[in-house]
Amino acid sequence: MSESNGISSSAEGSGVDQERYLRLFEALSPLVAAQSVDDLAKAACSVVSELLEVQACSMFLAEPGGDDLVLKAATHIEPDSWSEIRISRDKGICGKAFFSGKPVLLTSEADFAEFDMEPRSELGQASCVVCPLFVRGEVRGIINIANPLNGRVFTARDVGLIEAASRVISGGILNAVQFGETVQIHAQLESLFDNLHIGVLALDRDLRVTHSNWRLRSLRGDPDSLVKGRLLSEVLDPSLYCLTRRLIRDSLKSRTVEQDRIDGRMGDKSRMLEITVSPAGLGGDASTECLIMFEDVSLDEEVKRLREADSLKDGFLRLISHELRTPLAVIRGTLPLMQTCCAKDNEKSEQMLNKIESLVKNNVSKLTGIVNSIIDTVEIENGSLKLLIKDADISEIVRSRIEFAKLDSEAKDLAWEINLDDSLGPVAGDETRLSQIVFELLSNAVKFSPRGATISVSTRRDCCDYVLRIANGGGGIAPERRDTVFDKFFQIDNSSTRAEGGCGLGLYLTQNIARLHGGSVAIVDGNSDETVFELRLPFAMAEEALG
Amino acid sequence: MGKKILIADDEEDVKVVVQLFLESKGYDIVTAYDGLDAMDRAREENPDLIILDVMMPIIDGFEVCKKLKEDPGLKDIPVVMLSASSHAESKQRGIEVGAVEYIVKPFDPEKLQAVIESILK
Repeated sequence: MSESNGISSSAEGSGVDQERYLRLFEALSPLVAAQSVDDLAKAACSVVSELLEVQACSMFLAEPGGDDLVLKAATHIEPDSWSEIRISRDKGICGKAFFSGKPVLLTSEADFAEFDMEPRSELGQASCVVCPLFVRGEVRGIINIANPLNGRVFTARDVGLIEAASRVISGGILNAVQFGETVQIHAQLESLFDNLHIGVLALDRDLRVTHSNWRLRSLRGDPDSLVKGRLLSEVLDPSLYCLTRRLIRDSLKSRTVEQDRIDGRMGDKSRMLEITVSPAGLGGDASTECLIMFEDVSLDEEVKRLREADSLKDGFLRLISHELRTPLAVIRGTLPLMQTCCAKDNEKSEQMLNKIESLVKNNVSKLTGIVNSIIDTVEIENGSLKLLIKDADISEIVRSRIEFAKLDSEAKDLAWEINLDDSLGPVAGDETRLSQIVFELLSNAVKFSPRGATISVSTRRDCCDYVLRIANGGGGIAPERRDTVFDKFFQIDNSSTRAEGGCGLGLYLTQNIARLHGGSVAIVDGNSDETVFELRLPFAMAEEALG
Repeated sequence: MGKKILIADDEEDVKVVVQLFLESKGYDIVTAYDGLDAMDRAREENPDLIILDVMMPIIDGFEVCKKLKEDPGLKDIPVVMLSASSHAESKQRGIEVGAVEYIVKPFDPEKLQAVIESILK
């Protein structure tokens, strides 16, 4: 028996050997690309047995986690039974090669006897070479060649050749193992990708789909549909396509992530979708230009809507429980006074009754105002507030509302500075609604002016707009807080500045009604101690033409 | 000469109706239109009882009551609070700052009268 250390260099030299080496490499090289170990083993055994002109060639690999070597291929055994043939990795000739990591050459009966084996004539085995296969620096299996009693007896040259072959085959095994691992990782990634709760589309530069995940396909209504290779415009509903196209353009232009929400159709269902476009810098995947993610946020939007509805309800409850109490208290308070008046019948009772009547009227009208504000708010919220539009004499409306507001301001000793341009008008609008919002702005000025202050009212033309400016001496409002006064149920909650209650709907309604007229209400800059509201309304067409 | 009551409420109508009612019951009424005015009027008029609205501009009723109780010359004047808030915390706060009674709007004027009578007895 000879061992590899004695034979390793013996294959060098002769031109015949060199040619066999080359042919062996040539035949084995394509096997390196094999994707499975089984395919590789089968092909390798057949190449080796043919090129080395041996009777039998077999290959065993260690069972992962087990003690045996399992037959992967053999030229002299039927493929059906390969997987059933196992040998112990720590016994016999194969065990020696496996554990020593070196080739074993047996050429004589004495060599076989060392392993308690007879040369097995029924397999024709009179001479054999067993060579270990290394993968990632560890012995993972063996390759074995054998010739019958009457066949050629192997020499060190055969050992050299089989060693060389085993290195190529080992490379092939490593590659096949890695391929299997890659396939597994790929399958895991694919599964992760499919299990994302966000629908994902990857597009190439022609906006054709290169990848899509299960969620995306199921959002479209058919998880099994073929999306790959189709144009984005064919995959998305037109309601989504335009926005997505714009996001892609912006994203690719600035190389940034772009995001927007849209109420669109996907899979025959209207959904609120959050679309995110990310430019792809995917390593190695040059075909993908960008990634688009679709998240169904309909539920988020629904929750938001319900929260708003809930806060509206809270607002109404607060309103009813708080703001209705004061006028009710006044009306309730007049009842015993009436009894007193009825009991007596003199001039003083007469005066008292007049006073009571005005108190009741005033407070009934306050209650009515609150109820109307609630109804108007509901109508604005659900879009059912209707305007009766005609040419409205806005100058007359403003003048008459100022007279009413003056009555309210008497108790606070307010002064009025009025500067109206009576030549202005008309505006296109609903007279009742215009009266309502003008009066709201005026009474707001009265409410928030301290005693003895001056309210300035002026009107002017600004291009196509009629502009009403109302300044009160109630102190300025910081620019960043100006928009919030128009919020629903807004109240200046600081009791030190709260001159008077109110249902917190007045300015909200005023702004919305002005908008329905194509106009606006805003707080504009004024002196530091005054708050200036400006109402703008577009002139009616006739006036516009004259102007 | 009847007992003198100071009514402080920024709601003109509430103030008037309480004033008319209490005057009809023989009380002498003085009024204040906000928290600061209430402090001034209390010092000037030295009333027998003060009716304070909670929600008033400048300083609210709770704050006025607290200041009254800190003033040695005014701390013995009993205070009744009137409020549009029926919250328990609000009532609690009224008692904490030293009010004798906390009445929620809308209220029965006769009950207010009964409360006033029992305090001034």
